[in-house]
Amino acid sequence: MTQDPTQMHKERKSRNYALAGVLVFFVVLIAVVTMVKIGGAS
Amino acid sequence: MPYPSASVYFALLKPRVMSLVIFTALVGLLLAPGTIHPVLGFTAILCIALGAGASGALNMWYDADIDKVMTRTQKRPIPAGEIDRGSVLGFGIFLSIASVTMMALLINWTAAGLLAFTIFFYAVVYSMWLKRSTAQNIVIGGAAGAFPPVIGWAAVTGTMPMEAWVLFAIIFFWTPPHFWALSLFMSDDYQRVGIPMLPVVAGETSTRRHILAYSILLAPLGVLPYVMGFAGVAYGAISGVLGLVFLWGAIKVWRGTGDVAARSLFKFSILYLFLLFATLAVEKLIMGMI
Repeated sequence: MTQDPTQMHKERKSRNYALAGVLVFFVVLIAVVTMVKIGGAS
Repeated sequence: MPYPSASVYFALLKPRVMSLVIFTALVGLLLAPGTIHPVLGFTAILCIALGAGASGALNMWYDADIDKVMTRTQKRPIPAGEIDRGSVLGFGIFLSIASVTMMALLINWTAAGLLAFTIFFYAVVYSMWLKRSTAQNIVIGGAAGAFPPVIGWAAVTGTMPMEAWVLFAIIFFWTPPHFWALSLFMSDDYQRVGIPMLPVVAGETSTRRHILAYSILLAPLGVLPYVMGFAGVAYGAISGVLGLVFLWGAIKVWRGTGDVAARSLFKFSILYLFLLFATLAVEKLIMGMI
C-alpha cells in the first residue's frame, strides 16, 4: 500500500499541526499548574 | 505503509475504553475527602487518561497478530495497515513515561506509583501473560480497569483508604460478568485465535455459572458505599435496585441457553456501572452545594 506525495504531505501537515497543538497545550498546562502551586504555597 | 495521521494515533488510545477510565477516575477524585484545585484535578485526570491510552497502544502493539484475525478488532490501526508495530510500541512507551512523570511531578507520587503499576498490569500482566494463558484472564486483568477511581482518590489525598478500594472492588467484580456475557456471543472470534476465554475452555454452562457467582458477589458490593457511609440514601436505594436487576439478568443467563439473555446482560452491565458511579458523583456534588 503506497500513498501519493500530495496525500502524504497533507497527512504530515495535519499531524504536525496536531503535534504543535499538543505542545502548546502542554506548555500552557505546566505554566498554569506552576502558578497554582506557587499560589498554594504562599 | 501510508503516513499515519493524527487520527490514527488517537485510535491507538482506545478512546471508548479511555472514556470509562476518565469517568470512574473522576468519581474517585470527587468522592475523596478534601479539595483539589480544579487545574490540578484536570491535570490528574489527563495523566490517568494518557496512562489509559498508553496501555491501549501497548495492548494493540502486542496483540497485532490476533487483532488481524478477529472480526471485532480487524479495523484497528495495525491490522488495517495504517501504522507499523514499531511506531505503536514507541508511542505507547512514550505515553507511559510521560503520564507517570507528569503525575509524579505535578500531582503526587502515590498517584504516580499507582498509575505506573496499572499500565504495567494491563500491558504486561494482562496483555502479554494472562490473556493467552488462562481462562481467568478477565478476572485478574480486570483489576487494571478497576484502578482508575483509586488513582483519582490518591490524586486528592495522597492515600488509598478502604473507601477507594470499595470502588475498586465494584469494578473488579463487575468486569467478569460483563466480559463473559460478551464472550458468550463472541466466542467464535476468540476460539479462532486461541484465546482461552471461559466459554472456549470450560464451556458455556460453566461460564453461565461463573457469571451468576460473580453477580451474587457484585450485587451486595454495589451497596457497600452506602453501608460504609460514604454514599447517601439515594445511592443506597439505586444501587440496591440495580443490583437486583443485575442479579435477575444473571439468573436468566444461567438458566438460558441462547444468546438473548447474555446480550441483554452485557448491555445492562454497562448501564449498571455508569448509573452506580454517576449517582455517587451527583450525590457528592449535591451534598457539596448544600
